[in-house]
Amino acid sequence: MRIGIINYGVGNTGSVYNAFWNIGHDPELVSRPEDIAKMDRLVLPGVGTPLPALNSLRSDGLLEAIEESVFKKGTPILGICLGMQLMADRLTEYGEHKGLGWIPGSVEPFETLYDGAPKAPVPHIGWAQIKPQEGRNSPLHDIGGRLYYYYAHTYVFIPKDEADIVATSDHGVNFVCALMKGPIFATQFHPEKSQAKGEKLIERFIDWEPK
Amino acid sequence: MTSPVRIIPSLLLSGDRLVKGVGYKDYRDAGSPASSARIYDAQGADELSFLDIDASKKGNPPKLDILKAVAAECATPLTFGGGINTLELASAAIAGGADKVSMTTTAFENPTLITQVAERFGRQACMVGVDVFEDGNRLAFYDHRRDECTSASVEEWILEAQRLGAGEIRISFVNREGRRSGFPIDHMRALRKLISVPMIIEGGAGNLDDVDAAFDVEIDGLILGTMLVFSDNNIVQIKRHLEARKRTIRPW
Repeated sequence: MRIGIINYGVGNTGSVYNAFWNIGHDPELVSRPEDIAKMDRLVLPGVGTPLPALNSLRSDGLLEAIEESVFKKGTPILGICLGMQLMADRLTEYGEHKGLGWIPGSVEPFETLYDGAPKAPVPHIGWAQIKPQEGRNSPLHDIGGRLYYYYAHTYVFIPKDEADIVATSDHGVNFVCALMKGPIFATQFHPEKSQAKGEKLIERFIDWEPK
Repeated sequence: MTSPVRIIPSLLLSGDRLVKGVGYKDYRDAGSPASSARIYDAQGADELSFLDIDASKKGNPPKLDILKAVAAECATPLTFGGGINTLELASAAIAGGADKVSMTTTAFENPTLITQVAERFGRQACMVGVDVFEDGNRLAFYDHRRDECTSASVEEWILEAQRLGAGEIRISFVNREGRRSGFPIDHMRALRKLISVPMIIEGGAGNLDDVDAAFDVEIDGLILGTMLVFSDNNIVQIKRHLEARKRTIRPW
């Protein structure tokens, strides 16, 4: 099993690497199209703002190689935080950006959910309990116990299709925190920074067979 | 539903060791950075606050090699600060394993740095620290490099920093640091009205009841130093105490 963490200059690749390593895997940092093609699992991390991330993905044939793996071969991919947000059609942080369009929806300021009345501090930084949807074949299925994960975000993914939602969370209001579509699984929270429950989720992603 | 308040151990780096002081002075040895990080992580710390005080006091470059060693030990979020006075240094800290950078004096001296960091890494990665000194009913703006209070307005700077892109504000009560005198609840309540981003409080926790009392204000995080280093309290005990008092915390 070869696990490739996509290294495109904007992710917290070190933390993601450590998380896989600590549970007994030997992930690789990949940035060349020919290496991406060899991976059995891909991870798209992301810390930062959309523009440098999108520019970096869209250079040197990187995006084409990822899309070839995910959509032609069905290689499972885990998107984390900004890595999930980039998969939307549209992003609005520091300007208007066209996203990768893998999961229909747009990324809006968290306050959009508040309907004019602030309910909790934004950015949303800290731990929150998540509620996985019942009966979905996602890596979150049946992890067990109270699931708290760590968040650090100012924007939120608002998906078009409810069927893509596999978990929600709460920060003053309910919001979408995990999406699944075909071989794509993506989280707004950071499993690599969420101690034991994060490690468990990463293990589940590695074993996951998308339907 | 309110989010759990983060319990955040403070790691102050001087040389290649951790230290802990009183009122930003009289530092004593407090252990190895990497092993302390591993222990706090294992106890269920919600985040670590790691500050290179040589870099912030003397203007030395921050010790990124030690940051990397600490980051490798923790599966919990890590905030790094001390001497981050350029976007390049902020980038190096984040590449070195910090999830967020904290800027205090450097942000005040060069406020555009706040905007640069927020635009590059997002507001959530940009923490601004404000050192305050209680002067009767008002809060004075404390400059740790000169060890004196300046005429700057704490309240105006807090508003300005948020306008520029600060995604989190850390308030440090310098006159309480290391003195176990409890938290100034009235000041915290007044500050909460000015701070719409997460508010993190530091300086004053002496015992479990002090920590519990801080939850009377809607804070987002509590940085603990002396109480964890020089007493027999640990994070599990603290969280157990808070849970018994029905405070909103993350289970350990």
